[in-house]
Amino acid sequence: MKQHPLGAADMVRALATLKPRDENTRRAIAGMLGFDLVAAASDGSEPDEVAQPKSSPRIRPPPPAPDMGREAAPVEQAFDLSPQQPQDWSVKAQPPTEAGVEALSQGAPEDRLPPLPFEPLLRRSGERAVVSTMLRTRRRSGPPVIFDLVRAAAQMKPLSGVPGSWQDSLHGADVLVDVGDSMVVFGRDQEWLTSLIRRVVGDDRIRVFSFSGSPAQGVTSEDEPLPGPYAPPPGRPILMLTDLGIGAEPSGDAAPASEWRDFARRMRTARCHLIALVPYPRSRWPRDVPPTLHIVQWDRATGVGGVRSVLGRLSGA
Amino acid sequence: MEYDKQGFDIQRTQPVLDQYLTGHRGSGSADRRDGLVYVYTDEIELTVNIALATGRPVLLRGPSGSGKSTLARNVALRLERRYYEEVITSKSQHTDLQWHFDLLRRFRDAQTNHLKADANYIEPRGLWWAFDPTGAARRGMVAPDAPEQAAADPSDLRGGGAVLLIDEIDKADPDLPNNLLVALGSLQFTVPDLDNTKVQADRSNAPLVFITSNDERDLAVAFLRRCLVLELKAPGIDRVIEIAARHFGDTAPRRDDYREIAMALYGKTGSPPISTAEYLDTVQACDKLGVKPKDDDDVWKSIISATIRKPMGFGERQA
Repeated sequence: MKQHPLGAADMVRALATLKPRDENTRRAIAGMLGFDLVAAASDGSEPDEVAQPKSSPRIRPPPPAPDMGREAAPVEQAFDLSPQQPQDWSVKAQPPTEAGVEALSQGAPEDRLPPLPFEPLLRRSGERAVVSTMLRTRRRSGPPVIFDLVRAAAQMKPLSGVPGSWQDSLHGADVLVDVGDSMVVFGRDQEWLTSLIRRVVGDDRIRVFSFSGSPAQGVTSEDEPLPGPYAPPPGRPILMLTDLGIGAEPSGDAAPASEWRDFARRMRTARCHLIALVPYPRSRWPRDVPPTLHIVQWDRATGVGGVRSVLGRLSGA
Repeated sequence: MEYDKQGFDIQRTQPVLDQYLTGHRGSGSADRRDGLVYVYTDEIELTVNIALATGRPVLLRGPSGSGKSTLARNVALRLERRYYEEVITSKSQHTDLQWHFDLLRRFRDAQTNHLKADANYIEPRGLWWAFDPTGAARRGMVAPDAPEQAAADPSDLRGGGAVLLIDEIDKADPDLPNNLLVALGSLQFTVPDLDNTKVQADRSNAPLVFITSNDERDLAVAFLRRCLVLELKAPGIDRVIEIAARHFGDTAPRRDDYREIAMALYGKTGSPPISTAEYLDTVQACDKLGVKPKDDDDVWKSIISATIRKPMGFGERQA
């Protein structure tokens, strides 16, 4: 876990109070507060030190070209930002090769290309909040409700238990990952989101299963590689990362609507909240979705407000 | 590292700790949260000094048994401050660290026509005691009013300031750290159960707050931005031997014993497969039972299986 930069005022206060007597101590204090002390002057004069947040983007030199017989460039070397010589981009006739045909330059092998940048389907700024909101459950685990107690006493009713107030919390959840062909293109999003859920909710509170078609056809897990029936504990929130068969080929592995309806009904009987995160717009969702299956659009525009409006009526088991 | 250690100097505060130790050592307690012994590194000492200078909480990370919870009490002992500890569970709410309103007792008193002023049902918790011990003892009532019974200060240490340990914050609901931000940042909070009575700390004597995490859950960036993060790494062989020497006595023969046990447990690589706490338990057990680490000794094997409580077997650990 990196140290996120605290305020500059904290650094001023720390340096003024602790009065570091050497460079290493000064850097250690700054580092503890999330700052790097970077030498700004490079003209041989006394270097002025400036503080930069550790998390700020740093310009790094490109990696050294392979087999050039040079020493590897230092990781934090100064980066020359002086104006470059103008390049001549005009198209000129090239001398023909011996064969009379210009050879095409060989592109970099596929495996040498840098991986494509990954932008998750949920906005990074709100991803934690969206996950927390989706997987929250309400339980009567809060302080006693005096009103209920007084009413019971006034009516001379025996109390079988202390009525607690509703409390929202993340007790745990099951994540069902659709690994059908139509979800292959969202594989990285599924991995990313599952990892995020583990970090937000807690690894020991999350169970992850995979399915193809629909969970009614059986689920697998790391411990159980063979498909088996899915039976969640009562009241557990279930999040499905699926397209509900929207993107499947007509002759593909999409489950019929009746199968989804039966599965949703079974989960309802188990008092589980069933939520589907679907990476397609509402206009493409199946029309006959059972009301007990809550669909949230998996998209950049999805925020806490949208999730709450879908799940607003959910209450605890 | 050279700097002004006016806030916290382990050399200067050692006599204070020694004086306390004369009356409290030798209990043989296995609970090392008593904070009587702590082996500091320069980084830990510097972090405490920065926390005192900036008033920021220290978030302590590290594997189990690396001394996260012990540090807070040792600092409190050395600085002669009061010490409060709140252990977080999955059901903890941020108000649980501030106060508890005993609704059931109030209900019972109302039924029997013995209802008192609401303040009498308030139980101040760690954050309140750390911020304002006088107000906490009065359960938030302002003179000339006073509660029927003053609240008892839970700290066994006395002093002008306070050290507060919020233990295992990663066990809590993700909202809890965020809900603590305002209280820890502004050093004040209100008590709605007492007509929004304001509880405020004296800024010139702000409590030093330690928060521990086992990283079971990520903490929000907003929370991390308000904390100093200190990672306590699992100590190597030399350091655990030093820790054992501080705990159980420092003589050449004993150090040989500590090293022998450490080598047997840690293996030749020196990388720690067990926590410091487990190592100390093993040393203590061997010391009391007069056992030396030998692979073919059944008592030694029994000690290992009793003190190293992990799912994997001892043989696998050494592999």
